[in-house]
Amino acid sequence: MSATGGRGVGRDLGDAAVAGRMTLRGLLRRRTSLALLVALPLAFYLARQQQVGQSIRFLALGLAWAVSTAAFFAAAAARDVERRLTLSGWSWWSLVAGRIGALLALGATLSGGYLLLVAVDQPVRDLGGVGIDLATTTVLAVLVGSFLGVVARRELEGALGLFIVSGLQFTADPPSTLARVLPFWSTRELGTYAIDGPSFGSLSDGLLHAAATALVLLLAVTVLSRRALDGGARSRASPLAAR
Amino acid sequence: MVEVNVPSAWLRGILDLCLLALVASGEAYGYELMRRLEGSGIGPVPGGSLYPALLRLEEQGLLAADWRAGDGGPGRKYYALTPEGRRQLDVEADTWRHFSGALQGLLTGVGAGTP
Amino acid sequence: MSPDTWLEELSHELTARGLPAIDVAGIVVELHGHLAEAGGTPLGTFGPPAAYAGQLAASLRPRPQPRSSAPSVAGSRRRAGRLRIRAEGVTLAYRRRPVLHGVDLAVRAGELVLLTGRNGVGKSTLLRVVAGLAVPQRGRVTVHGSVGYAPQSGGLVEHLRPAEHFVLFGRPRGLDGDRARRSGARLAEQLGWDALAAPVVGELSGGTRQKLNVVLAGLGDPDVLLLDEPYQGLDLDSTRRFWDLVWAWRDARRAVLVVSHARDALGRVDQVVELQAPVAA
Repeated sequence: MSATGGRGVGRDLGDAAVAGRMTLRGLLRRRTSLALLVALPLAFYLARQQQVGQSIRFLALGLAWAVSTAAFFAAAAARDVERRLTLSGWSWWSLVAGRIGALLALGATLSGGYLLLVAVDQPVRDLGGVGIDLATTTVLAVLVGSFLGVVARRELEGALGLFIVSGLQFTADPPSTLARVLPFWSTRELGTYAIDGPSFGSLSDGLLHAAATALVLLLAVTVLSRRALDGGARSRASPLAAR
Repeated sequence: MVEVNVPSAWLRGILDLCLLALVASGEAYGYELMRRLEGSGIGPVPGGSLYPALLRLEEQGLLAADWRAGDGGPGRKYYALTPEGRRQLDVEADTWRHFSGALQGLLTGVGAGTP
Repeated sequence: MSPDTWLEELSHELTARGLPAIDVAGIVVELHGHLAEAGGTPLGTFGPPAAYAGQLAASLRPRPQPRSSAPSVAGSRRRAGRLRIRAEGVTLAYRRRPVLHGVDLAVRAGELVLLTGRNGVGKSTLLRVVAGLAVPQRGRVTVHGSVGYAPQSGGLVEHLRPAEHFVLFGRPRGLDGDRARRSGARLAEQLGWDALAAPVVGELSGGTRQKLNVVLAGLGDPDVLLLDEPYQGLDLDSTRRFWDLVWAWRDARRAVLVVSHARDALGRVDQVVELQAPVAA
């Protein structure tokens, strides 16, 4: 069975748009959760509001945690229905792409808002750098959350996974190997670049780490989602695919 | 073999029965059935009548279809008799024998090749 | 007229006459193969595509049956049509516990089959295998045509409304936006439920969720319907409406497979398949 399910790429992109719209509707309806999601990075930011560097770092990590949580729970909530929809004829990738696209849009809105906050509230030497930091963090967070969503069978396991990833990122010593291996290392590095300058933080290192992490996570999400959704356990008797 | 011109009206009437009988002697796909039909002496059946008949028999549950990989191309649809089809064939075969016997009686002494 | 053009026109004509896509595809492949082997022109062999499509469609239309709301009683056997579901030797074990062992099943177009048995005997599992959600360790399942599946629970999005589910489930069946909503609303109406006014799924009662699941399964007129304990939580009026809907599907030549342990279902179906628990070795 072809990846697009034979319905054509144009149709699948339209499908992805519909899936994305529905994901957003579902997310935006959860007012309380949404409020908490928005508040989390803000709370982290306010905790260190007096210090330029720390406030932005905490904001970024808070954003990472909030967006990855949203992505995880969006994936978990969609698991059953996505399986059922592929049976009805949806292609697995338009469902996943739609969902991830919606989360990226949500995350981008959040980061945009926070970037504005930082711009007015903090004397930052490189606002563009902060923007890059928040943007990469958003992308990585969506992928981390989506990855946990497809890997963790139960919500508790996934939530704990999120705790571990984010918590470790906070506590691991920045120059240590452990910190480098974690997905949000680039968030810290790019934050340092934006706040303290290129002599302290490497833009290229940060972007490279982010790109590599994103690629690995994207691959994992793709492979695992396809396996979970495109089961196709029964043979469909079709003249076009005679066995 | 004597060249006979079988009126198309007759063929239309017995096509279903012929197809059931042909499939009873072995599963086959559409074109193969057409060849067997021609070879049987019944006469050439227009390709146009064949497929509506096959579809009808399948829809009525008398034939079961199975797609099989063709050589190098898309699959071929093979037809086989179902238990209901077998029963229908037996019943209609008996009916036919009775009918043709009666007709035979009517036609004794008529025609060029009188038996 | 080239064979490809002729076949394309035939395909359009057949679709316009309401034939399911899978039947149209099958006919096109079969006739294409015939022309390839027999030679000759399509016009000469079959005639104009529109007229031929009419002949083919007439063959697939069943002879008008007397409409009744009761299922066929033994003695007035309604003839079922082509095979829609075939399961052979399906064997499935879950964590080393055997659940299904060499199960055979056949459901034809226009047939309503009840899959019953005691709790835990594997009815839902077998339905999931047929739906394609579970893979058997041994055996083979073939389904001819499009499938609508209604699970016993789950398979819904808590924070979306039924109307939004209609859009999602209607899309692969060729129903876009408004048409999907209207189709879903019509089906829901048959079950005595105003779906467009309903709140998000999370706020629906269990019985209403089941109605939603049945509607989603039937959206877009699939050839095969697989319903798992579909009327367990429904009140008497809704149950009656449910069976009316299922009989209407059956009369429209769909193949319907219902899982239920309810005793009252026994008299309302064409065929009963009872699963037995595996005999302890």
